[in-house]
Amino acid sequence: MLYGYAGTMLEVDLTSGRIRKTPVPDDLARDYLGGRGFVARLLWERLRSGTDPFDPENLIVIATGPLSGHLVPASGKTHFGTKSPATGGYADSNMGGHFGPALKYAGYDVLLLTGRASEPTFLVIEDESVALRSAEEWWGRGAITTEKGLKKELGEEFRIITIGPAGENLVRFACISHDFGRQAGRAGIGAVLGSKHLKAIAVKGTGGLPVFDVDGLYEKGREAYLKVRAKPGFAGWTPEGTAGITDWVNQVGAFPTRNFQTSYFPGYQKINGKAVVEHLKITDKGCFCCPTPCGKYGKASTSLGTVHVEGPEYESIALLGGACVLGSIEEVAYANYVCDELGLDTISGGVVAAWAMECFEKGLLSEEQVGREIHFEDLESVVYLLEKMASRDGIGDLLAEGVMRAAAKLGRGSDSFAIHVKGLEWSGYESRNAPGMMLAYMTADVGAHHNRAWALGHDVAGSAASVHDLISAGGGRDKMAKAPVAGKAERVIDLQHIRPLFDCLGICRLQYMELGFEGQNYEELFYLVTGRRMKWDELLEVSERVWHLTRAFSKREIEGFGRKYDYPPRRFFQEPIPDGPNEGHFLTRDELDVLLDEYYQARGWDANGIPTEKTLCRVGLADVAEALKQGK
Amino acid sequence: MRITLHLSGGLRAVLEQLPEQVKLEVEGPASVRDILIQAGINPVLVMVVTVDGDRGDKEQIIDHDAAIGLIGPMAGG
Amino acid sequence: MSLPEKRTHACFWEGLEGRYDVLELRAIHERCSGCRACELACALANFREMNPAKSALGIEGRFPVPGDYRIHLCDQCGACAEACPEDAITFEGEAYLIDHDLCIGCLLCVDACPHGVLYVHASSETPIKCTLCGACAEICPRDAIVLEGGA
Repeated sequence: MLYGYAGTMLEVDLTSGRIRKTPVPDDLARDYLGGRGFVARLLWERLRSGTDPFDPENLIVIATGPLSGHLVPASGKTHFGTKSPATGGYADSNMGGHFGPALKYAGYDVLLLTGRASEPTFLVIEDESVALRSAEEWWGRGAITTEKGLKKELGEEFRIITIGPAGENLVRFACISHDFGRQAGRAGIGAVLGSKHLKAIAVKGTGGLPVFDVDGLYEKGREAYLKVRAKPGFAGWTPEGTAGITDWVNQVGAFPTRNFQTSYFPGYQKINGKAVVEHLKITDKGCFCCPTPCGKYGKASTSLGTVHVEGPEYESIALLGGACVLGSIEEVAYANYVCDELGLDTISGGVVAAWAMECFEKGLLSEEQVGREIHFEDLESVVYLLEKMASRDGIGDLLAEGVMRAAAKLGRGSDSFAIHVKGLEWSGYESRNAPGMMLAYMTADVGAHHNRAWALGHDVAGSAASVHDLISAGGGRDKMAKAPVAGKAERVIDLQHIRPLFDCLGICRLQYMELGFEGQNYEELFYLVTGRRMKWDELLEVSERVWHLTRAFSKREIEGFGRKYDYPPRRFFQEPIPDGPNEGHFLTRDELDVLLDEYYQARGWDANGIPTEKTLCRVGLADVAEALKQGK
Repeated sequence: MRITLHLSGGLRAVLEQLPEQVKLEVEGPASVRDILIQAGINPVLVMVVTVDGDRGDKEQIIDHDAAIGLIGPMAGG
Repeated sequence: MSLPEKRTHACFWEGLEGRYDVLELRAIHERCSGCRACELACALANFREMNPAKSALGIEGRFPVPGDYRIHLCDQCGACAEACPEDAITFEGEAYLIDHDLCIGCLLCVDACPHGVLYVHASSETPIKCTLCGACAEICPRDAIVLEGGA
């Protein structure tokens, strides 16, 4: 009996329409927990090696965790995974909201999608009933519009994910949208749904979940909410949500500005958390069972119109605000809304737009090619580019490929400021003076994403003047010293196990990471839900196993994969930061090699960054080691 | 003034040697920044400040017994 | 958490000596973040089950416009009791409660409820109704549901 789990895997073949339900294997649950663990393992086992991401045979895994849907803080997370259209390797993305719990209440822990529907389709799951329906009337329409329409048609109690035109048009960084403000944003999973002609999935579940100790869980669960509320950060965090970190990131000189040309934005106070609260916010919008709703739902009015939108979150502020240099929070929110309705990742969308604007500035793209003039600091330019990308119209067809491919095609040195790793655009932390963060970006499995290992705090602690210096120098807080490069690997590795563990459990990591809600609380809650006694370290071992597995997957799927895929763009190791708190700093190519060498060593990977047989066997992946040895 | 500092999980992660609560006697009035320096905490590591439950900032002047919440570096989303 | 403010409510006991404090649930909609922990707590407290579909309240999201939440609670108005042909719903001290043995499952009460907070679930012929246990108020991390009063 798998306590905590709904117990069933639901497979839908979109080509044939065939639906299959099988029990969740005990050993899968035991060794991989759920969520990201299930995604990684099922992709490894079931995706035929060499499949193109847009081929009907590409597999999409949608997985909840054992704690999803239970009375545990922030238990609304769902994990999505596939072979990435952006990188050609491992792709996953995590999403909040209410979809995962609904899937579990309907009776399913995992949803596996294969094949391609012959016409636009949406999937409706209502407890044991699973049906494919025509999405003809929704195809071409916005992600938010479609969710609203389907809720009206099916019932408000349905929890729905949708793609927008960007996914339909196979934009390599198209996202999945949900609940008017949540996304599975990264790695282009929306485009894979688009390639399958799957416009939406709607779920209603009225069943309950088996709990090992329901009375104990009710008591500990209630306690957990009280404990989280009692944490010192609770009151300070929620009102501004993630936007509240904007000030600090600028003050430490890590804010992506003007396509990462520099790392400090003088106008940051117009686009920070305070601006969100004062100018936009209507509601603190939260995910399922979350005590610290980080969503800021509000209304923004600009010269281009008025929109209701969730956000902007920090990342959207960083890449639509900073990288594209938009001067007001209303403008950032408007651009955010455009992304949301089109079904575009705001991170990649912002970076791609910024790349295009820098190309134009440098004369590498002409007005004729683009279709009009485009400039930083101009909302119209940003919106124009986002709409072009989503429709693949004109210049959009190049941009929809992502900066790596677009720059490869355009040439003329535009790759030196195409800000990505492995083909996925960089998220919101400029890291030329943050070696730990740089290493995290270089080695994240999906490409340049921060959420595997957010090491910036530790980097700043290392580069900030000591308190003694502060006192004696009378402040000295305006410029940061160069952060030490050595000794970063261990911290990054720890974070790469801790943060994704929550993706395996099906819950949010914020209460742990930002508020300090202790790991032992999760041990207790995990036991009460599942009946399994696992210490924090044992839970982390699962996460470590998954880390090596996703690396092995990318090795299997990307020809010649290895060290050379782990480097950042030339801007970061050739151009010193021109101004701000980190003026003059950057990391040399040699320093990047120091980071990688130390990391591979600590990971038990060879000099080319491939997990050794010994390492794979140590973490319970002997079968993976064998497969790699045999060359797939 | 009797000041109690409440350190968030994220802050303690980068200041491993400090407990969740730090009590100190400070000659008032003093800015939050000065109080942090006196406590041996580099102000640059503090992302968000609350004073007696309300959101504050590092330049704020404290002139009474206060509970100061300190949130350390944390990721956005 | 501080205790809720006591309120007095003059209902049909008006005119009697003294005043009676009526226990009631109050919704503060603007604080609701849509998390639905209340729905889980309700089902756990009343059924010992992890299933929000068996809760006696509802959280409604109003998106994209106006962009907020509405909490649908039982206010013990008694319309269900009035509608019941079997007198299976009676006022018991503080709340209207369904006697599930007397209930014949006609569901007229569900239609009669002005707030739509009587719920039907496949696991039972008799509907689900708020028992004023206060589990929702207790769990709410936003203090968006408050249990007040009580003699």
